[in-house]
Amino acid sequence: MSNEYLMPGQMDAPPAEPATPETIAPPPQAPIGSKNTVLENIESLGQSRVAATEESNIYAISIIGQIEGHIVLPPQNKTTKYEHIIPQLVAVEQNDKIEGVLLILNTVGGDVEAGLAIAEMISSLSKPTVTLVLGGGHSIGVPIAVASSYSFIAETATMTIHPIRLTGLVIGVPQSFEYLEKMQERVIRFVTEHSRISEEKFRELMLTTGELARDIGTSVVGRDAVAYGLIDEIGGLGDAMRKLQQMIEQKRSNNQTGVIQ
Amino acid sequence: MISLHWAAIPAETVFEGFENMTFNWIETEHQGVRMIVEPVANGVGKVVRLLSPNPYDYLNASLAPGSIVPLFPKT
Repeated sequence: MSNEYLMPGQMDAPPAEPATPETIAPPPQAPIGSKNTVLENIESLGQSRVAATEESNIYAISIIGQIEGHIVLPPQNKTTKYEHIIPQLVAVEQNDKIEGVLLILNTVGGDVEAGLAIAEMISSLSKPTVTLVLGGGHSIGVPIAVASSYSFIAETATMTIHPIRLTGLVIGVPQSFEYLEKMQERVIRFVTEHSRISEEKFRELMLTTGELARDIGTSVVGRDAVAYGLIDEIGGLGDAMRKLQQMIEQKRSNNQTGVIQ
Repeated sequence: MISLHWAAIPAETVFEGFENMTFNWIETEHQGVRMIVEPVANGVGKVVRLLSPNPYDYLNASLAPGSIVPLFPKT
């Protein structure tokens, strides 16, 4: 579909001929509407940037900065907008050419419901998914990091695990302590169901005192995240790609032999 | 509307200036895709979000939020 913006022949199409009585009635070129204006737009803007439809079978999504959900954040924040990530995941699920998804995380946290929505979408994708935490995967970044089929963390990356009921900020209607507690339980349940960490350990990390300067909780560094069972393996880009390709191969051979997972 | 924000950086940093934010957004169409755009200069705008029901439109990097697209006056 995006190819229609790329027809090289049409870029050089001469301008429409001066109108003669015969040619006025039927327009000389059929789809004047979108296609030609698109080309004009591109030309007048000096941009030829078009959707990259390379033959990669992997789709990479980076989740950076704040996860922006129901509320638009002030411009000093770098954000990942969940309303753009969700349809991308739908497209990934639907597109036969995409066989696996690599998610690169470097996020400080953000909207709890938007983060959980992304995490649920990733965990319910039928294609292999690999997450790689680089830099940081904090707060609501934790459920996203564990949502994939297999997770990696860079040795230097950290994940802050701290309680929502103390650090969460509700915007809108004032909410009760019970509301925050309930949201926190949703996060704990998701994380413990999608990783090897026990609920006891996760709660313990969340409620540790003296570790963080301004908050209770723990900053878990790469190797510890693996040791606690939160993340599957220490690794970088190469490891993540290798694992993803391996899972794709596995899925292909399962499909060929008719094994249903 | 309720939004629960939970991050490792202090909320006062994240929400600084929140009260004074103003939005000058318009709805437009570019490459056949309806979208919300913030005008940034004469004739150009920055994509805020897409309104398309077609999931493939969201894979088009040239329409990702933050991209610059042309704006045309209503005819």
